[in-house]
Amino acid sequence: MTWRDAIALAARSVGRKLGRAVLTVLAVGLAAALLSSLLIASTAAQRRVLDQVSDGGPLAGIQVAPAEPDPGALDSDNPPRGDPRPIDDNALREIAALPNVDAVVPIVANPAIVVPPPDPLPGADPRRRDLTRAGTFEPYFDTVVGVDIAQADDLPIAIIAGRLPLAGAPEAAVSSGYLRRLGIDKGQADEVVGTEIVVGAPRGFVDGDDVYVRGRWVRLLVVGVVAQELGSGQVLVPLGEAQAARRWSTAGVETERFDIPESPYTGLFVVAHGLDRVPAVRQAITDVGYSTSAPETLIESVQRYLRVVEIVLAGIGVIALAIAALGITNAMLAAVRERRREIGVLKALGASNRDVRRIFLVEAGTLGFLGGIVGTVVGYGAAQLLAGVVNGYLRSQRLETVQLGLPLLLVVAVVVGSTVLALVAGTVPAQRAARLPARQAMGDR
Amino acid sequence: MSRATLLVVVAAFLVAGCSSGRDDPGPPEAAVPDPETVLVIGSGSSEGSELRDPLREAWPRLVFAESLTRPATLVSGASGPATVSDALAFQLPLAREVEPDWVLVMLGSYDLNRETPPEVFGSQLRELLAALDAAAGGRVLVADLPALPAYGDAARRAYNDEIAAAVSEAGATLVSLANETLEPVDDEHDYQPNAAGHRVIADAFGAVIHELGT
Amino acid sequence: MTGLEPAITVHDLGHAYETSAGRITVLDRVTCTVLAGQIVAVMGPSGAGKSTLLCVLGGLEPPQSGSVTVVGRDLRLLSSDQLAAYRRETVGFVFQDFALLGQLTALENVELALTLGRVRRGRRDRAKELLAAVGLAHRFDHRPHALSGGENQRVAIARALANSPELILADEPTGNLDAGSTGAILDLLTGLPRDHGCTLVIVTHDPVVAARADRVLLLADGRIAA
Repeated sequence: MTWRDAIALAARSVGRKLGRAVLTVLAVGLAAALLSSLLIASTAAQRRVLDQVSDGGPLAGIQVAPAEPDPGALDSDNPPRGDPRPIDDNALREIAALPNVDAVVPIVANPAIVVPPPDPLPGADPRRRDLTRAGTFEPYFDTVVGVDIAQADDLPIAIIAGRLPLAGAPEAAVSSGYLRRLGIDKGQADEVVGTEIVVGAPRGFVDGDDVYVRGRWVRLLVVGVVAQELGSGQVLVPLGEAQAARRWSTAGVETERFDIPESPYTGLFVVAHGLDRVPAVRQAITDVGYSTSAPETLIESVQRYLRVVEIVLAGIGVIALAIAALGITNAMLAAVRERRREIGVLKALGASNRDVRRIFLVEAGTLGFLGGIVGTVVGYGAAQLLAGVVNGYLRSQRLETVQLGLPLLLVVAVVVGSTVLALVAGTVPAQRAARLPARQAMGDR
Repeated sequence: MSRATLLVVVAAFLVAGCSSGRDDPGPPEAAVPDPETVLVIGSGSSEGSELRDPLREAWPRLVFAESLTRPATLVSGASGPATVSDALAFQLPLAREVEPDWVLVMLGSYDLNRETPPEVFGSQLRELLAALDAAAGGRVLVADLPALPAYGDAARRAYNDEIAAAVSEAGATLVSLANETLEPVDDEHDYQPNAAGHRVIADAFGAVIHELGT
Repeated sequence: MTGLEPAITVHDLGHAYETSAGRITVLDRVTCTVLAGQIVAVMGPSGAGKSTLLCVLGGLEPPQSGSVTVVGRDLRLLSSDQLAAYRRETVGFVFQDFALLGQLTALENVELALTLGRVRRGRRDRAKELLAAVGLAHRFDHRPHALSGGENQRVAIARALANSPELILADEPTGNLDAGSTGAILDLLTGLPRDHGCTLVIVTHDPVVAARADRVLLLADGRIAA
């Protein structure tokens, strides 16, 4: 008997106990659906992370601190720093010339007094406590972070609302920390766009025996809300503005007291040519004489973490499939019990043990195959449903949505996997059927 | 590493993923005029140190926010109980440093308080205005003294005469507050006007700035 | 119409079953010879060993002791696979309850025997011929439940003939049939040696059936009584 004949016969047999076959296929299908939807979801998540990492985007960034490297510092993402060492234009040029460096973005941070708009904004929580006695937002001490806006694409800056400030313009972007301070929900980030803040750089000066603070104040139009990981400040400004503020502050006395950085650049953000080059570039920068930090081990941990998540999800799916496989075994054993006579007749007609085994294996495989197809379709649907919910959340957070793919490999893997699993599950029943004595053809007499 | 940290990092990655996914060509260089810079020469009362919200209510702040267009920079030398001679010593150097477009001067209350003779006050003011004119090249606006209960009326008039004369000699512009009567911020600080008083002063400076054109 | 050569030679055949009640001897030193083309009826009371004899002759069970030779093949010497080959090439079975596959049509039931008989080409046409030969040309696409008992047994006979066997074994072929069908089926069965040159062994209780046989073997307590 050929495989083709066996398949034709199995198709007829599956159709005979339609209810049982449908339930068995559904069990396999649901398990396969679980497995495939979990895999589709985790693949989408991982692809998103890997896209970032592989082509050397902001995630392949190295932060250079104005300090000498600490011995053995490369083993750590955030090593302790050595003695202070200013980063000047020479250092910047030297680091930019290192191999495997795609971009070097200077960062200038300067302490600042931030005066938010006088009137509480429409979206602000009226129960907020840090309003002034006059009922306006309390001015506060913070830091302005200045970067070359033209290089913003290389930086870990995400726009939540509005846009980035234009280089050279009296504009600023604020962080979500600023929104929190004002009691404004992230979903209403637009409320602060278009408002004006006044930012003052402090300078210490001596008048008689006392030290006073003089400010250099600028009016900045808030043009956007961003998430940035370059400095701890809530106000992102074009580099020139931060440099002007720093020039003002460093001309004063007691600069340490006001946390005014000594280094011309408070840091550099170095983009390596791919995540795999990060260690080499860090080593090179260490050789130049600066302390570095990079999220490389963090990224690895994240990847490991994602892999663990994937394994756990796959594990759940596999357990479901194993349960479904037991279902197949059970259904097939029941079929063998019920069809003892039929098996005997097949043998009387000349079927060998191998023929009988083949017929039952093909039957099990058919159930697995159909279950795999049902599972892929249902799983893709479920993943889409899940993506809909996730995208709804992402949209509410003003984040880019995820697009789910249905990788052909996954479809093939799930269908083939279900079929193979069903074949394995069908082995024992098929063996049992093959070993039934031909005498069963005569009935139980 | 804690799981929370990892989750935060994963979230950050996703966020970072979003930003780069956006097709944002690098923003062009803005065509921005040079900022207008304002230098304030005065005493602590110009800082409004006793006001409830000095960073918004003091008159230099009001002028900065309302009478200038962006881009604008404000530097205030005003501090403490500054007299004209203090201003000469500690505030004048700022004019050389920041090269202001506008110099807003309001001095006299602490000279009055220390009973500096009007002619001495006048000569020191002439010296200051001449130096400012030499240093800044911008427009120098000088306010005279409004009526406050702490000021003796005769003395105030004598000072205002000196101010008017000095301004006229220096080619500066007078911001006249002589006919304004202001309320003190409280009994303890009767040399400082209250918020309404700061508003009156700011409006007077604003009117002159508007008249002269920014 | 009988030939002179023996189609079946049984010598000292013994067969026993182990049950919880102990060993039960079903066949005890049975010896007989059936000539090619003969129609032999096997009769006897229940438990006399008729079905077991049929099983052994049909290769459904290997002989436990003694020897059984069918058209030159010593069944004792055949492996499990060789027994399967023997069943599909040499033997055709007809059962009392027809033993057709319910999910298959009449045509497909006959075709199944050809499939299991390793016939690769022309199975459908051959199956149609066989069904037409038993008078069922108009019933190709009917399933067993849509056919009468007599029609089902005709399908079963067509199936038994599929691989041109030299030996047809029928187990109570008319046991489930009404009187009307019985005669027709008997005519069909007893015509087989003449039309197809095969040997026919019928296990039956029915003296009418036995009367149509060339020879009757009477089994009692596992032995040939007559």
